[in-house]
Amino acid sequence: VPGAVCRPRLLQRGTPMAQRLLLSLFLILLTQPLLADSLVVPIGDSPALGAANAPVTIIEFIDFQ
Amino acid sequence: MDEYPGKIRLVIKHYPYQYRDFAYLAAEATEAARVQGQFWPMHDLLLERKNLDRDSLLGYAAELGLDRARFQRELDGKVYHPRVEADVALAKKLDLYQTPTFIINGRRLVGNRPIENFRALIDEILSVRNQ
Repeated sequence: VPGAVCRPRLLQRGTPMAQRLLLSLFLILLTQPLLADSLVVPIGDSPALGAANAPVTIIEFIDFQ
Repeated sequence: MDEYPGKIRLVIKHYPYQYRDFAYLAAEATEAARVQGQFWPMHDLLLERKNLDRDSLLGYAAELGLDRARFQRELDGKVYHPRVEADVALAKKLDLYQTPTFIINGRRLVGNRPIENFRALIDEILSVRNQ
């Protein structure tokens, strides 16, 4: 059919709700590591050791107690 | 850091747990030492000695040769509390819930992990950059 959108069978109408929920959950879990990898932390004027242009920046959130 | 000369920058953010007696005080003490150029020596002392009550902190300041009167005045006046709070707000915004948490080039390592975990991640980052 011209203009028809091809959707995965699981997302098509008539697919049981449980299956669609399961697929959504799977997609969320799949993308989570990517989101976790992209934490952006402003350094500001926090105490720092090492060169500002070092290729690896380790930011430690610390509790001394 | 000695293992990777010139390759690593270490940045400290405070995340004191609010229900521990001296967590905030200790964090503020490192900042009071910092303005006198002694953040890292104080940081190392606190991790080594463990006693973090006010008198101990004042003792460490004296041991490091800090201007004790200024240190005490700033500690008691909570001068660096807002700075520590700003870090805590950032940690909460990032959804961090445990210390220590390390963010290494945007990737999170939670808890006291074996050194091998750090090496593996650092080696991976460096190898990608060298490709």
